[in-house]
Amino acid sequence: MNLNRWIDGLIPQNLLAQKESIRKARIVVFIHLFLIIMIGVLGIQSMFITEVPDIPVFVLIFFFVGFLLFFKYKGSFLISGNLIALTVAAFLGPQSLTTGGLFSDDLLWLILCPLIAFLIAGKRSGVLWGIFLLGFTAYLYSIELDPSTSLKEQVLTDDPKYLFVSLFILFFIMLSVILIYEQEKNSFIHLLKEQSARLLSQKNEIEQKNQDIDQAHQALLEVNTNLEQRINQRTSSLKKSNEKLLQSNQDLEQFAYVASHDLKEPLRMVGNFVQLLEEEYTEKLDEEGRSYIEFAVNGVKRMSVLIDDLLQFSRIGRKDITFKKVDVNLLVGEKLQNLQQVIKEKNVQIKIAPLPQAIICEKSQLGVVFYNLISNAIKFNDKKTPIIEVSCEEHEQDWHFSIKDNGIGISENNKEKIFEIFKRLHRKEDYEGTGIGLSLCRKIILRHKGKIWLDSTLEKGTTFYFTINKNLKNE
Amino acid sequence: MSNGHPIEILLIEDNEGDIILTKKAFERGKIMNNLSVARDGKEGLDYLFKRGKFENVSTPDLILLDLNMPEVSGQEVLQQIKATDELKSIPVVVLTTSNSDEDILRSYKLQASCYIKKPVDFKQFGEVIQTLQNYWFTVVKFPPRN
Repeated sequence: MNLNRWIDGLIPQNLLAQKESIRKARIVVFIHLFLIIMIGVLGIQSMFITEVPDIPVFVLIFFFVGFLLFFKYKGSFLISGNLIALTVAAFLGPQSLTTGGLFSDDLLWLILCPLIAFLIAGKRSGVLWGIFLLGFTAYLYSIELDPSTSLKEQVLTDDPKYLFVSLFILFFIMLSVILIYEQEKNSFIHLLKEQSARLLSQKNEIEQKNQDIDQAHQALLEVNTNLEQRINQRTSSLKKSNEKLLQSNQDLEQFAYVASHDLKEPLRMVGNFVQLLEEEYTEKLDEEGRSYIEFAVNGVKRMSVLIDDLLQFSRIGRKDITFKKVDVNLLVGEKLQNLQQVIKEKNVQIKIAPLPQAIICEKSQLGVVFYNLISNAIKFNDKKTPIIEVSCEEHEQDWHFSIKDNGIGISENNKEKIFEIFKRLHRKEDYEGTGIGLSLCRKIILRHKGKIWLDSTLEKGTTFYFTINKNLKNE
Repeated sequence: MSNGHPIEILLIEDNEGDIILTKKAFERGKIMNNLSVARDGKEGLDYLFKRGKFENVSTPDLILLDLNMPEVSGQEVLQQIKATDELKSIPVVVLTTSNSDEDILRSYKLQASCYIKKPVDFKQFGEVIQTLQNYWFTVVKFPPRN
């Protein structure tokens, strides 16, 4: 509605934003406008009666326009309500003294003061203005008690119609005030009810959601507990089996160690006495007898080597090792020195790329790895000039070593087998050895947190690769 | 020993086979010697301390000691020898089957004069004993006898 929008234009912004205060602000503006119009009408009316313009009436209009603007910029209900009441009282109070006192219709109009104060400025102001009105009435009454000071004669008009109109307007105003107040209260209550209903439904919703969440949480907890129990069970069973494994591994290594120790004693007896027999009774034996003894002695020697290898293999796992800084160039040089004779015999060409000068490892074990891989490269080689290349690459986590030869090569299906203990691919007449070398190498590399593998082409050659972890720590 | 006095050797060894083999090997040597045998660690200590039936034996010039013996082990015998003033100057050669670094290291720590692994091959064993004889009886000067 246009009127509404026009009225809203006179309401301060901060009050427009609040739903409860818009209505009240509208009433304030409406009262201002109503009073301005009313006073205007009364002024014009009085002009017709007295034919002289009633100046205070127009001053009042200016006052109210001022108040309206004050409200527009200040937006205070308390001040605006009391200002209106005060103006009305200031205008009507003195006027009632000149228009008949207790019998003046202006006194009736003074009821506007507590009404306006009550409606706009609040209950407390309304009551205060009510007390003021009662006091003023009592004052007028006290004047009336003394006939000499009675103001009764000053009543301008005794026209009952005029009184009736005044009473009717007052009644109408009071009714409006009560209606507005009720409506506001109701609308406020309604608003509150609505909000509380909304809150209630929201609360219910939240409670429902909470319940759902609780249930889900409960279910989750159960699942969690179950899971935890299962994990604990698994962990403990894993722990047990790990302990068992460790124990059996230790047992096995201990067994291998003891067995190889104790096996050697009787073996030595057999070997030595068979030889002693050969030496001391050589005339009594024929050629065949001596060849039997040779077989026996050879068997004993081979077994002795096997036992030594087994002993060495078991000791790799059994011994506590200490990792230290090692210059690999020196280590490989040492190992080549040990192989000097065979290198010369087979005319081997060895190319060694610069190797790391300081890696953390167990020196003697890494030496075993180089010795075995290099001696294998020489052994399994039928070229006129065997060529062996040793090199190393530095990676982020480990060192990658490679030992390349141009030897007989290893077929695809044997690439894994060769790492098994005592596994041999050739007849011992062709290539000697027990077959422990590579399994020993793998065990050592594993202790260095590395891996060993190979690339090979038959007749062309083999390259062995192995890695040594860079972050080895002594336990 | 230039004065022709036979070398006194004590072999402390529990294995009958090794005793025979050692005796045979020494017999083949060119140097005159008296090889006495104690058949376990306890007997060895009795011999060295001249207890019981060993009251009249002479103190050996060289001791050959086996490490793996029941009851009193070779290590214990070695410890006792080195802890006794009259005996600690006698060279002790440890003879054993064991090839392990730990056994070797332990023997040297106990002040064994040298450590010899018994070979599987008798010919080799003979050579070892021969070398031993050459070394101890011709090259090395023994501590003077009291």
